[in-house]
Amino acid sequence: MLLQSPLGLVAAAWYPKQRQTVEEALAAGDIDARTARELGYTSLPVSEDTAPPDMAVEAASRVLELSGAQPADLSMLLHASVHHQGHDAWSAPHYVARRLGAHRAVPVGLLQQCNGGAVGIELAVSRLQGDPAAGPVLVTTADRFLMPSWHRWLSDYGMAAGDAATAVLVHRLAEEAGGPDLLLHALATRSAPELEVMHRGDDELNATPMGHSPMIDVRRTKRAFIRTYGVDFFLKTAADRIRAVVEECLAGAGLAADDRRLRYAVIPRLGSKAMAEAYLPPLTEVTGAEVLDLGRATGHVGAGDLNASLADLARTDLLEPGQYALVLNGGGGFTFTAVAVARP
Amino acid sequence: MSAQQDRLFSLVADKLGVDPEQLTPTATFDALDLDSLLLIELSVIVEKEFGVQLDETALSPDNTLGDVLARIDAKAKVA
Repeated sequence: MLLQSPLGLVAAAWYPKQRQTVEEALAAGDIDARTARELGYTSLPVSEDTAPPDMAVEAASRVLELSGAQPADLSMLLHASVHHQGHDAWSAPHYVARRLGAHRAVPVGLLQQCNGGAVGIELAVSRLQGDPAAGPVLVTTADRFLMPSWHRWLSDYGMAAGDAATAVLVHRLAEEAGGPDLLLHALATRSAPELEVMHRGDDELNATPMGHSPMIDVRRTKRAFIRTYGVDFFLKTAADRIRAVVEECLAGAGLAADDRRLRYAVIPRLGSKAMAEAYLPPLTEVTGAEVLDLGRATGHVGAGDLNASLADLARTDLLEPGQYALVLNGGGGFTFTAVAVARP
Repeated sequence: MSAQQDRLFSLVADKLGVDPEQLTPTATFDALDLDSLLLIELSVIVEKEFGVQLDETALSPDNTLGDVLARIDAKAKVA
């Protein structure tokens, strides 16, 4: 998408104190040594006591505090999630808005699978560019992956899931007293709905939640997908979309592929082997920027990988003033997004 | 080397990209770098080419191509 001018981002993430190390997972028989090696994680955050919407409130409160933005000025609250938020037939985004005091914001839930947080930022940009009167937009993500409905190590191939929340405030420049952590210069998204079947397999659409299996089993649907289409169909389609979003994003930010200002290309928080096979080849084909992996101690954090990486870039000195990072993400459906941000 | 083994190894090399020199009946899937996703493709190949159904979820990294050949041979004997 075309940004009329750079927008400001203030970002933070919230992680529970409890963690499960990979050694503990091996000892518990949650994974075998080979899978642990291929995933490459050191530990995963575990949120047994705090539900996702409360996790989102923690991250959002930190962002409001850092930015100085007033909750009542928010024009929209976009909340993205992958898994159960704590209740049925109920709006987690409205809960987050109520707890924050964002009474004038329009709360919207994004069930976009793992690229939901990234698409939230895209929608925030649309809101700000489409309505000159709109106040800042807050994008939150939150998920936790607990048994019996989700086995954080075994429910999917190529990744293990960590519990976390993220919050990204998207605002016009000079709107917030504190100034932005990052400048958003470009954002590009491409979808591949032909890959929707990866997360459905051969299953019929049924009438009851969790009706296909008592535990979410993405491995089963992916096996069905691979039996019909093969792994290469996914790899080729993903590579095509990833190249497209990276190229469009760099062009939108006015960056050449080998631009010295482009300090990092930040990758999603999937398993190391999955990223080496699916994400790194098309990414490194387009840009030689140093690849930065920020997910080894968090795992894949549901809808919030890209947003968590923005929080890391915002809250650390990884980027010096004037330096850029491209942050890449993808999610079931499939959708791929790349953003280009810079330290002011 | 049996005709079945020849055929299986040729398919594994061509379709799964495994170096033919690594292919022996005692080579484990782990040693051949055949991960869970490639084992699904292996099971599809074996079903299509030999008519033998393999449950890929029952295969571990320590299983070998010899284990797969044993399943194929067992079916041939029954037939």
